Amino acid sequence: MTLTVEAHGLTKRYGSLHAVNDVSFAIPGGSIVGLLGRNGAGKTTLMQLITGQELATTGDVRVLGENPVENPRVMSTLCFVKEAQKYPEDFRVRHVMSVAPRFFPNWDAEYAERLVDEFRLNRKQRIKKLSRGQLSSVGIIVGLASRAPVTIFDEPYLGLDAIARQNFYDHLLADYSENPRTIILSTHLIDEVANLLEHAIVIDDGRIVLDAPVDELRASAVTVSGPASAVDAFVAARDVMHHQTLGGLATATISALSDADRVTATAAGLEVGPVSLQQLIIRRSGGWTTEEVSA
Amino acid sequence: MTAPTTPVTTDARGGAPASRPLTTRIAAILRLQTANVANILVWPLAVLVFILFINVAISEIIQQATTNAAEAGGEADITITFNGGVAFLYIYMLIIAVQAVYLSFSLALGWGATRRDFAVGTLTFFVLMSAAYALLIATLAQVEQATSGWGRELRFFGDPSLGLDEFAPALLFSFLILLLFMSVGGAVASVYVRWRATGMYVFWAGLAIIVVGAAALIGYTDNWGTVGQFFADAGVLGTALWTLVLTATATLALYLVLRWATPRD
Amino acid sequence: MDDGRPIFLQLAERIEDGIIDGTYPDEGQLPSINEFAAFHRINPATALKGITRLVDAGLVYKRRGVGMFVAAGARDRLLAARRERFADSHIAPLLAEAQTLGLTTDELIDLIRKDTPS
Repeated sequence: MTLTVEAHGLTKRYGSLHAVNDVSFAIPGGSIVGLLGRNGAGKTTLMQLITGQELATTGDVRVLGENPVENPRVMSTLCFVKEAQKYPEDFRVRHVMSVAPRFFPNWDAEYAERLVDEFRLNRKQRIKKLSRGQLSSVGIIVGLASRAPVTIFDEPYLGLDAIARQNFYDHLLADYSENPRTIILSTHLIDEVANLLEHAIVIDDGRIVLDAPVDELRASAVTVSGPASAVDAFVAARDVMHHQTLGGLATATISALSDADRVTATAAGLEVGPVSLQQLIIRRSGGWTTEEVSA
Repeated sequence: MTAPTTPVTTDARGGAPASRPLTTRIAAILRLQTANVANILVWPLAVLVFILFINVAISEIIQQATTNAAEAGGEADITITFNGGVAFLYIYMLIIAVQAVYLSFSLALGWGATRRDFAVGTLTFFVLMSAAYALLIATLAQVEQATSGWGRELRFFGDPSLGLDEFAPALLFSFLILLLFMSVGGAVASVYVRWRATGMYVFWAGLAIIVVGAAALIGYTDNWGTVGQFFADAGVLGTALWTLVLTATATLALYLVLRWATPRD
Repeated sequence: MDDGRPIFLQLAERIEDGIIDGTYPDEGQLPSINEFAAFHRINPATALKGITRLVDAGLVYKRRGVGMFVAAGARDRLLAARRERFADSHIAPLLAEAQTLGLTTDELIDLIRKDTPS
């Protein structure tokens, strides 16, 4: 499988701040990848480096095997949907839809128009007058309809309600199935997108703290809950990542169980459940806390 | 049923596809800059017509007044006056140029344009806009001449005292001045795009130092006469041609400043 | 769908359930990978992994350009396997819960008799 994006020792410094600090990773072609982390962790800087918007201080980044900076071959395969995108003076929704095709060789105009209707945008509406959610919708439509071989969404759903977000996820999956491409999704709503992702890269304080297939991550831990004594007995010889008690009840997050272990746990009156990807990431990445997870 | 792993436009090796021609990329930037016809055509023309209308109305009133004065025994002095109303377009185009750089840079780069594509495309936009509006001004200067200044001896587009009521001089002069305004606007905006507020402080402070310094130097060496003579010798068109030095400097600055700028929003 | 195991395993099991309860009869066509992905809102690669597991187990086969089909005899094989696992997967937890509730084995059998449609 070809690698779409590779980074080796990638670093971006602003003065004494290491926004991205000696980062190396490889994103396989044609996958949906989550770039996860707190606000200010370095997600946006990393995406700017990948898309040639920002210049690396040291190290290098390659997209489709080449340096993206000022490289028209690579740049024409990219679509970077930014979190707070500015648009030209007095642009209306229809202007965006009429200009974008000139930038994206694979643009699907019919699909774009359908999305405009589905996201209930008024084509004559000025971009400036759009609500935050509607502005997000414009970015989502461009990102999806661009069909760019490397499409990057930076917190694409700000201001969107749960239904609109679900609509986005459904479209993302359906369109990705029909037109496979590399999609990088930066988000802090980890659990909402967990099942969409094939791979997760977690960045904190400019460094990558976790880089693994989501399946593997999810399979790496479970929670067992039940009477505190039973839980304690069961997890005694295991690697406990997290332990919580409430009255006589306890919940523990432990490494994955074999089928036999599951049976033992069930027989002991314990309930085995999933660990949410978000919880897992918090546990595995040294405990960054998501104090705010609201959209 | 196969795994979804084939990228859409990448070549067989999975590498980057062949480059799109430069002209296609420049055309995309031009489309971005010209998509909103209201902003670059309808509004300036509407305002221009409005200003012209006001001017004609005012000159009508003045004419009435002077005619009345003449009838009352005073002097009727109807003179051809150039009121410079067309300068509105210079300022408007400067603002368009600022917006073209400031508001579109981030979007263009997010949509896969290189900085070079953006700079070249935007400068092309400046040239085309300047040419189009110069053509309009020169043509209307002709109309103005043919209608004896809109029937009111009003000179709005071309100043006869400078020989700018003729088509060719009006075209050249307007083109050069519009291009100057747009390149300077674009260059200043590019400084803001790259260095934000800090860039603006340094830029304006630097400009002030240069202007004041030059004025002091000329005054100190008692050379104002020479400077005046220079412009007198160069003539209107000559001076306009000399602005090409400034225009070229601004254009080069825009290109170099944007070359390694990072879109922040 | 989520019990803490990998999503692809859970999908495979769901499809197995479908084969057992007749939703997907022997030699019947299965929905496509993309349809499974869209329905369960999961990554298509994950769906593919789940299906591949069934293909490897010989329960499902692919017909190039047509789609995926349930293998002949898949249901019987699944039933046999599930019966084999039944004691572990169902009886053991049942007994554990009964013990918690203080039910004796005889009481448990009575309950089962009572709830068994004759």
